[in-house]
Amino acid sequence: MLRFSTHSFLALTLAASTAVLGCDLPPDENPGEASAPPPSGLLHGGVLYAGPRPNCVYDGDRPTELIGGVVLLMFFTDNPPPPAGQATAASNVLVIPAREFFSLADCLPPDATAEERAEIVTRAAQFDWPEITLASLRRSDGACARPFRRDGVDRDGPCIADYQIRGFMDRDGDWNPFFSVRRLATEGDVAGGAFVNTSVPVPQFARIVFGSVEDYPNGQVVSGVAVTLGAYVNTELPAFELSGMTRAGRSEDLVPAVSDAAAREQMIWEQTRMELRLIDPTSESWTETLAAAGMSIDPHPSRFAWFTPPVDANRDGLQDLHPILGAAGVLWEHPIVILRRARSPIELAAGIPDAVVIATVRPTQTGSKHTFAPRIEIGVAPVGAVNLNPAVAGCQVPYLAPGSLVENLERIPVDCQELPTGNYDVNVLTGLAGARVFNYREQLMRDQPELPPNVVDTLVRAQTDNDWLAEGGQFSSQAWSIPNELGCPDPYRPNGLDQNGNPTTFNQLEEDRTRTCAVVEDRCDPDGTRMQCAQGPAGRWSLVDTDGSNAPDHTDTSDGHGVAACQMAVRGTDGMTVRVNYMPVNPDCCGPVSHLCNLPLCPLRPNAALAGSGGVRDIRELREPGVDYAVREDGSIQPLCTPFLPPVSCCRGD
Amino acid sequence: MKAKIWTRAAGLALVLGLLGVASSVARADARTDARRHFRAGMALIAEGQVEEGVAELLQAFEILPHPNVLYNIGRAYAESGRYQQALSYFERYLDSDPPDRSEVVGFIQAVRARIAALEARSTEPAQPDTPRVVEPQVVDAAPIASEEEIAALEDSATQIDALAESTQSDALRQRAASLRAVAQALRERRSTASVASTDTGEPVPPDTGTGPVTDPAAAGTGEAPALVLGAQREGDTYEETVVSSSRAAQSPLEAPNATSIVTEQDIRLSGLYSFGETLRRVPGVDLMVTSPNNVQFSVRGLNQRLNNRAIVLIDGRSVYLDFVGGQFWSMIPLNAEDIERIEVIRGPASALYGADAFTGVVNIMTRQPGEGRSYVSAGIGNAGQQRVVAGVSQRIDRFRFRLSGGYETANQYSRMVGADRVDVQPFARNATQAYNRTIFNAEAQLRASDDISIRGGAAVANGDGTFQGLSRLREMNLEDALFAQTFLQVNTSFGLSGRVFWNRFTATAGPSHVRDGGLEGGGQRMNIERQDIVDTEIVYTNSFTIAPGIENQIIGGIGYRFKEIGWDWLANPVTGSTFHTQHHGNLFLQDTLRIEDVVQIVLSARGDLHPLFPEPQISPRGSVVIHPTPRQSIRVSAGTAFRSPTFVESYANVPNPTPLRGVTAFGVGDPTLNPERIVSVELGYMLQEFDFFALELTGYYNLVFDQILLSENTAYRIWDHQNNPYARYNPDLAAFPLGQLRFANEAADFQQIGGELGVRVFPVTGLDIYANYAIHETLVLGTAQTLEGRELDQRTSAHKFNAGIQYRSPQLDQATGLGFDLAADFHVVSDQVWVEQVIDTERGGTAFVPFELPAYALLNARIGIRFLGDQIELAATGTNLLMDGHRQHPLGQRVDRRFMGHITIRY
Repeated sequence: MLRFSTHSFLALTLAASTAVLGCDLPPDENPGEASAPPPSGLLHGGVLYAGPRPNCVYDGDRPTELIGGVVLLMFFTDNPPPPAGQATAASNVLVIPAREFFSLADCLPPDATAEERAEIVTRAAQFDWPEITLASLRRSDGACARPFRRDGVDRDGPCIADYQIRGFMDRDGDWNPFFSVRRLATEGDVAGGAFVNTSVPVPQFARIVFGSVEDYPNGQVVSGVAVTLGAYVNTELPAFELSGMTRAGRSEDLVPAVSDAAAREQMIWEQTRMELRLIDPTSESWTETLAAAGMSIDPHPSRFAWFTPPVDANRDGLQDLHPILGAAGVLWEHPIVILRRARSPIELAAGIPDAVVIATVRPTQTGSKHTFAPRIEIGVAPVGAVNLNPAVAGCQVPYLAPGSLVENLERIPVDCQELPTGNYDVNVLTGLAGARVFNYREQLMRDQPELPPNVVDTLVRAQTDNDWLAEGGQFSSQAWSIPNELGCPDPYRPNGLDQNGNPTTFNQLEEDRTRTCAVVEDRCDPDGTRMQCAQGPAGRWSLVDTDGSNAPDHTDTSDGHGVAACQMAVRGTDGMTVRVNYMPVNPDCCGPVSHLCNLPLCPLRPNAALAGSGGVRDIRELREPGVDYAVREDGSIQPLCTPFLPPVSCCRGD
Repeated sequence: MKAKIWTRAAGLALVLGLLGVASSVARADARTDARRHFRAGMALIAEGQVEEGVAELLQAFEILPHPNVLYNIGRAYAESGRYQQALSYFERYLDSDPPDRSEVVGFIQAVRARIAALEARSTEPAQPDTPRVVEPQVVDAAPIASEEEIAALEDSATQIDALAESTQSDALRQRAASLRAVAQALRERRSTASVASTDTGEPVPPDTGTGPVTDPAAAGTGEAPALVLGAQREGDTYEETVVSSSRAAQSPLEAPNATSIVTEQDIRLSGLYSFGETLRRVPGVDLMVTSPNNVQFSVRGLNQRLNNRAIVLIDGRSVYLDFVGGQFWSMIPLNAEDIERIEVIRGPASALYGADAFTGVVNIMTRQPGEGRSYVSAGIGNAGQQRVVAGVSQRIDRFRFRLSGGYETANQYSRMVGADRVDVQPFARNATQAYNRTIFNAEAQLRASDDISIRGGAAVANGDGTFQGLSRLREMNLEDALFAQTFLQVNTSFGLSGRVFWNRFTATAGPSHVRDGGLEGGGQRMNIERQDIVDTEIVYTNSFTIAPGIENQIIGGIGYRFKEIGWDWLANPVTGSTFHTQHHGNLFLQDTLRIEDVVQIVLSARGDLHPLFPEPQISPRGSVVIHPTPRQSIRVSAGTAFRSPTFVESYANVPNPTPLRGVTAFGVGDPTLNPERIVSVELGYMLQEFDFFALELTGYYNLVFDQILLSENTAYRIWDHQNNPYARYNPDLAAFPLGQLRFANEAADFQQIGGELGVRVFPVTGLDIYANYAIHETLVLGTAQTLEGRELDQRTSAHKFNAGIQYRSPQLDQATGLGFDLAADFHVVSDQVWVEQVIDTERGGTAFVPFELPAYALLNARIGIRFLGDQIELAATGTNLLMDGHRQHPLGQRVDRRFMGHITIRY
C-alpha cells in the first residue's frame, strides 16, 4: 500500500504552484515559424504633393467623395522600371487614399476653369509602409539570397535590400495594381519619387536600405523618407496594336553588314516592317471595351500620340546611346520597345530561360520628327538576348544567327545559333512627366506670322504628325503590352474555334487576322464584354524558322555548336573569312541552364497548334507531353528537349 | 523523432500489458465496481441473506450513488420485516423524484400501516405462540394483488432467472420458481375472485422473500392489507448506456453506430477542465489544440483549423455555430464538473441529426438537476491558469435545479510575435492571454405530474479567445464573445416529447496582431452582430411487441430550425445588408426491430429541407446487430450524411489582406454550392462479456463527395470590373481587389478506409487501464483532378495510439476519509501533412502549400488526494509532460508543459 503524506502533498502542490506562477509568460514563436510572421521592414515617411486640386465625385453641386490617391511603388535599385531595369513588377506597393491629403473643400469643381485646373496646391501626409521584405541569406552557402546583395564591395559585408521609391498621385482613380494596362500613371496624374535632392535638374532616386532578417530578427524600422510628387503626367497610355504590315521575324535574320547607319536601319526595318498603331479609343468597339475595363483614354492629340523624347536610362542627365546602333553614335529615343519570348507554364517550370529581342524606334525617323500619330515604325534588331541567370548582373547573352560578322561574334560573350523562335509579347514603355506639351503649329504661326501656310504646314509635318510637340520632362514609365486583359484572357495558347466550330488556334501575324480574331473574340467573350483580339495572344509578334538546316547541334561542343557559319565568319573590316574566337560566357551565368545541356532542340512545329498553317512559320517550344517534356512524380517538369541551346561554353564548362 | 515516439508508445503499451497479465483478480472501474457490488448484493438478498446483500448494495452506492440502490435496499428491508429501515430508504429514494413516485408512495403508506399495526400489537398482551419470523404466505385478506403487481412479480422472477443463469446458482433458480408459483397462485385467485387462505389447502410457497409478502404480525388475521411491492429496480442500474446513437437509451452493444463514452470519472481524473480535450482518448477521434482554448476535433479524418464536420450537443441540443461551422469549446457554457458523460458517435449520423453530423456527433450529457453534489473548486497554475467554479444542485419535492458558474483564464502556449517586434503590433486586448471566460448555467426540472415532466434552463458564456483563420497573420481573436443557450423541453410518459432551444452568439472578430500600418487594421475587425438559432422538435416514441420475442420501437420526429446571422463578413456587396436568414425543416423516422434479443435491425431515414438546395436531402441509415451472447455484438451498418454549406461558405464577402497594403483578395461565398456528402459502411465487434476486460473492434470504408473548400485565387477580368461588385476599389479598406477566393466543391472524390481497436482492462480494484489504436488512410478516388497539391492532404494521422491508466485508492484512513487518485494518459500520433492555403503574391493571391506536421506524443497526468470521504480534494495536474515542443497543427502554437493545482469541496 502506498504511504501518503497529506502534508507533504500539500506542500508539494503549493510549492509547485508558487514556483511555476513566477514564470508564466508564454515564450515567443521563432519568427517565420508556423503562424509567426517573418520579420519585415517598416518605413515611416511623408509624401509632399504639389499639383492640381483633386477630382471628386459630385452629387449635384456637392462633392461627396475624393477620387484617387497616392500610389507608391518600391523597386530594387538594381532593377528599376525600364529602360534601366528589366520591367519586372514593383516589389512593394503602398496606396494612400486622397482623403489623407485633401478635404472635400479642396475638390476641383466639375466645370473647373483653366485657371482652376492650373492652380497648384501643396499638401503633405505621413505614411507607414509595412511588410517590406528584408534581405536574407541563402542557407546553402551563406550568400545573399537574390535579389539582395552585400553592402559595398566587401564580400563579408551585411546583406541588404536596396530599394528606391517611385510614385504618383492617381488623380483620376483609375490605377489598379493587377490590371497591367492600368497599373501606371495616366494623363493627369502627378509623378515623382523619393529623391536625394529635388532641387537639381535631374534628381537621383534616394537609396532606401533595409538590413537582413538575420541582423534584424525583430524587424527594422526606417524613418525619415520623403517622397515628392510634382511632375504632371502629360501623356496617355500608349494603347496600340501591331499594324497589319508587320511581319514575323526569322530566326536566321542577320544584322546587315553595311557601314551606312541609315541603310542598315532601313534594312533592319525591312526584315519585319514592324509598325505600332495607336488604337482609336473613340471607335464603337473600343469605347465599349475601355468602359468595361473602367478606363478612359483621352484621344486629344496633345496626350495621345507617340512622343519621342530622349532616353536617359542611367539618369545622368544625358541622352543614352541606342542599344544596337549606339556604336555608330545613334542616340536612343522613346518609345522603348521590348519583345519578350512568351514562355508557357511548362517552359517556365522546365527552366527555359527568358529571351528578349531588342526593338527600337527607327533613329532616322526620329531625327527630324518628334511626334508620331497614329503609327510609328519600329526596327527589330535580329539579336536574341537570353538572360541565363537573372540573379547575376550581365548574364544577358546575345544570340546571333549564323552568318554574323566576326566583329559581332567576338566583341563580347555571345552565342552563335539561330535566334530563339516563339511568340513574343510586345511591351512598349513611354510617357512624360513634367514635360511641356505645346502646339507647334500655333507657336510657329505666332512666332513667325510671316510664313505662308504651305511653308508652315511643311515645317510642322516635318516634326509632328498632329501639330503637337513635347519638350523636357522625365520618363513616367507608362506602358502598354500585348497581350493584355483587354484581349482574350487565355494567357498562352488561345483556344479559338474555326469556321466549323471546332477548336483551333491561330497564327500570330496571320495575314487575314480579321477573320480569326472575330472567331476568337466570340470564343473568349462569354460574359458579353467586347474583347479586342489584337490585344490578346493574337496580337503577339512571332519569331519563326523558315529553314531548319542551320540548326545547332547539341552534341557538338565546339564553338558555334558545329555550325560552319558560326565557326568561320566574314570579318567586316577586310571581308576575309576567318575562324571566330569566341569569348566564353561568365561561368556564374551558366548554372540555371546547365540542365538543358545535352538536350536536343525541340522539333520545329507549325506556329498554330493544328495543321493548316503550313511549314513556313514553324517554331520550337515545349509543347507535347511525353515528347518534349515529362512530368516527374513530384510534379516537377523534366524537359526532354529545349527550344534553343544554352551557350556552348556553358555546356563545355569553360 | 518518429522512432523515439513509437518506442515510447511501445514501451508504455508493454508496461500496461504486463500489468494486465500480472493481475489475476478481476475488478473494475467505478461504474463496473459498483455494478459488481450491486449484482452481488441482489444475489445475496435473493438467497435470503439480507444483511450481507444490503451491505453490498451500500458499497455500490458509496462507489457510485444511484437511486435504484436505495429502492432495492428499502425493498429488501421491507421483505425481511425491518419496516423502519425500509421506510428510511424508500423515503430517500423518493427524494430522487423517481418516475415511479406514486407507486412508491403507496409502498410507504403500506409500510407505515404495518408499523402502526405492529405498534398497536405491541401494546396487546403477548401471544406465546406468535412466531417471530414466519415464512411469507399469501395473504387471504383483501384486496388481492393487482394485475400490475402480479406482472411485477413475474418480472422479478425473470430477472432472478437471468441472474441464476449467469451465476449458475441453484438457490436463485429455486427462488425464481417460487416467485412464479406465488404469481401463479395470485393470478388464479384473482381470476376466481375467491379469497383463499393457507388453511384452504392451497400450496404454500416454500420461500418467497420477494413479491407480495405477508406481514408476520398480520398473518392470518386480516387486520392489514397485503404489503405488495413492485419488482426490483435492476434494469439499467450501473449499466453503461448511450442515448445518442438512437436517441433512446440503449447499451453500446446495441448501438447502430460505433459509440464511445468519456465518463465523468474519465473527465475528473484527467484533470482536463477543458473537457473537449478528453475526447482524445476516443479511438478514431482527431483532436488538435492550436491554442489553449482552441480545440478542434473531427472523427476519422477531414479535420480543419475550424472544423465544421462534426456537431456538439449538450443533452441533445446543438451548440454548432452555423454561421461559421464548428464550435468554440471555450464558449460552451458548462463546467466540467457538471458533465455526467460525453458520448461520441463515430461516423456519419445525419439520419438522426441532419446536416453537419458528417463525421460524428459529440453529445455532452450533463448531470440532471438535483443529481450529484454541489461543489466549489479553485485552481491555479503556471502560464496564467486560473479557475474558479461552483455549482449547486438541489431537489425540492418534484422540483429540482442546478446552478453553476465560473471563471477561467490561461495564457497562450506561445506568443505569435515577441514584445520586441517593431513591425508587428498586438491588436488583441491581451496578446499574452489565450482566453478568458465567465459562464453561468441554470437549469430546472419540474415533474408536473406522473406523466409530464418539464425541464428548462439558460446558460451563457462570455469572454475572449483565439483561433486559427485564413488571415495574413493567421491567428484570429474573438473579443467580447457571448454564447447563450436557452431551452425548454417537455417529456411525457406516453412517448411524446418536445423541445425548443435558442442559441445566440455575438462577438467581435479580427486578427490578433497587425502589421503596423497594414491593411489588418480597423477595417478587418469585424462585428458578429448576432447569430440566432431557434430549433424546435417534436418526437414520438413507441415500443410494442409484434409477436412473442419480437419487439419493435418507433421513433419519429419533426423539426424546424431558424437561423439568422448578422455579420460584417457576410455583407451583401450590392445591398450592404449584413443579415441573412434561413428556414430549415426536417422529418425523421427510425424503426428498431429486436428479435429474441439476438438480432436487432435498425432502419433510419431523415429528410432535411434546406433553403439553398432545390431538393430535400435524404439521409438513410441501416444497421444489423447480432448478439452471439448477451454481452457480445457484431454490427454491420451503412449510412450517409451531409454537411450543408455554412453561412460563410454561402455568403462570405471577406477582404483578405495581402502583403501589399492597398491590395486585397476577397473571400466570396457561393449560395449554389452542393452539400458535402459521405457514404459510410462500418463493421464492428464489441465484447463486454467480462467484468475485467472489454474489447471493441471497428472497420470502416467511406466515400466523400463534394468537399467544400476555398479555391485558389481567380484574378478579376475585364468583365468583372464592369459587372462584379466585388471587383471595385474599396474606399473603406483603401484597397484594390486582386481577385476572388471562392468557396467551391472539390472536383475529386475521396475514399477513406480505416479501423479502430480498443481494449479496456480492470486488473485490480480501483485500477482501470485502456488502450486503443486507430489506422486511417485517405485517397483520391479515380482520376479526377483535385486542386493542385491537395492530393497530399491528410488532415489526420495514419496511426493513432492512446493509452491510459487510472487508479482510485480505497479509503485509507477512516478518521480522515483519506484516499487518492492517480491517472495518466498517453497519446501518440504519426506524422501528418496539412495542405493549407497561404497568401501567395507570386501566383496571384492564395495557393495550397503542404505543411508537414511531425509525429508527436503527449503525456498528461494527475494526482488527487481526497479527504473526508471525497468531500475535499486536492489535485495536481500536469499536461504535455514530455515537453517535446510539438505542435498539433502545422500553424498552431507550440504546446508547452503546464501544471495546475486544484482544491475542490463537494457537499
